[in-house]
Amino acid sequence: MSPTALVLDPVQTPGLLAAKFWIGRGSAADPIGQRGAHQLLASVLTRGCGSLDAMQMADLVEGCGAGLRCDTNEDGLLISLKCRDLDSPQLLPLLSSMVHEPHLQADQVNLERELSLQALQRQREDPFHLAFDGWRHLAYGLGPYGHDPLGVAGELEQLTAASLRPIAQSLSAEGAILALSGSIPAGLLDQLQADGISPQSNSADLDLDARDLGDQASLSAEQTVYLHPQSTEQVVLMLGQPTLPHGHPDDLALRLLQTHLGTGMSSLLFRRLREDHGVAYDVGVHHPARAKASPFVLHASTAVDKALTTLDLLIMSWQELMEHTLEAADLNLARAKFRGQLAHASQTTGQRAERRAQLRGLGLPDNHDHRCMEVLETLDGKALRLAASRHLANPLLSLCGPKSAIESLADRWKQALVQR
Amino acid sequence: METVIAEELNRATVDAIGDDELHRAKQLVGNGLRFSLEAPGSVAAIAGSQSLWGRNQTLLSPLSHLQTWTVERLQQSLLPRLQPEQAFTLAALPEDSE
Repeated sequence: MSPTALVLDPVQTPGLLAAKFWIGRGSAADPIGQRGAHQLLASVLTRGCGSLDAMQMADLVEGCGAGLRCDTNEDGLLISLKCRDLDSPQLLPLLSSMVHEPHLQADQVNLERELSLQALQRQREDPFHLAFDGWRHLAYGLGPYGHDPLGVAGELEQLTAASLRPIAQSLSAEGAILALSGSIPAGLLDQLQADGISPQSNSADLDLDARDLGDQASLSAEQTVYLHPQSTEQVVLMLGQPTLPHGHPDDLALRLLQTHLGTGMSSLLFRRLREDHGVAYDVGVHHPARAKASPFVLHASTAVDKALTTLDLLIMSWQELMEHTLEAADLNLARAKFRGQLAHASQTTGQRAERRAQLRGLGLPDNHDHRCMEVLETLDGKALRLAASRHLANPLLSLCGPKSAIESLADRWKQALVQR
Repeated sequence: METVIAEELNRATVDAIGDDELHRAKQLVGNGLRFSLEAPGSVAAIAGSQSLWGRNQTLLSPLSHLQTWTVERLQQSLLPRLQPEQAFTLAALPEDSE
């Protein structure tokens, strides 16, 4: 069993404690031919561990009026517990037990596998998801970020309790982070210390310039567009590029650009595509916090007859990031929204604990967000433009919609590439 | 399904509710309130609603009301009001069903 680092964030609450147990093995670590294994494993961790079967576990958690869940993303697995501070001494040991003593009973694994397959089936009916899957495949190929954490149906179908056991052992051997936020009862730390879990100072200050930014498939010039024909009335467009790990020195600039482009009704894409031209009913920017090359993707959903204009506007908005310097008013608005987002994302103990665990998991200092707020004031329009030039020069396009429509869009895309 | 729900509601007025079941229910209701007092938005919503209805009480005072509920009190004063004969039922059915 490897060590668990403890991060404490005492906050005054009405007697609540949120715990987040993070292990840095997510769907990116799915073995070859077993895509979906980590997500499936996470889903059965709440279905029996240690001396408790699935019903007893549910009885214990719900009997305390608490909440317990386990989620997987590309970079890791996160177990979340929220409960009364008084109940935490009897509930917290569950987290460690789930990771180190999971039952992985065949019937429970089969049940969860079927639910995951159903979820994948639903995704296959969603053009937005199909377009993102296509983009992901184009950008990352068979690399760690190349598939949805839920997995790939053909491989997920083959997974059994036996195939999850070695993955569970690897999970158990991996170092973990336990972040606690809220009212931390006296005596809880002694109890955790007796289990070998103690606070560790965090001097993390990684040189992210030197960190592996890999996980990008090598692309030929032709491989910049992906088409997924679907006989619907709508077209979904995704334009983006794998960029940087969360915490990279240039990532703050990309986050500001994300905010400028896609946050709220005053954002550039919303104003330009929805209000000025009325061409798209759904626009936004996807740029999650990831340990490696995080996607930076503009997306828009539109009608077939407005798809060409939508593509032109997306390409124009993308090019402007590298060619135009953001005006002071737009930059100030983006800064204000960014500050608001940080405040909004740290309201509850659950949000606070998750952020603490995430930062440690990414090897970033606990005060990373505070530092970002300071650096934010020093970034000007030129710095954003230069960051865009460095990291957004090779966008990829994914399209989902009627065949003839997306083929016309692909032709327009190729023309645009020639003109660049 | 209606029959099963009716039987369950009826049974609750007769059969004793276990102490552990009552404890669990109090925990669930109490924690629901505690969890909802974390985000400023929901605090404002609760405080606003209480002020609007003239309930001048602290945000956590409903928790003390929870402790006054016993199995006997639930069965005498609350469960009789939750019986099927006092209910209005709306069932949404497929067009071709009877």
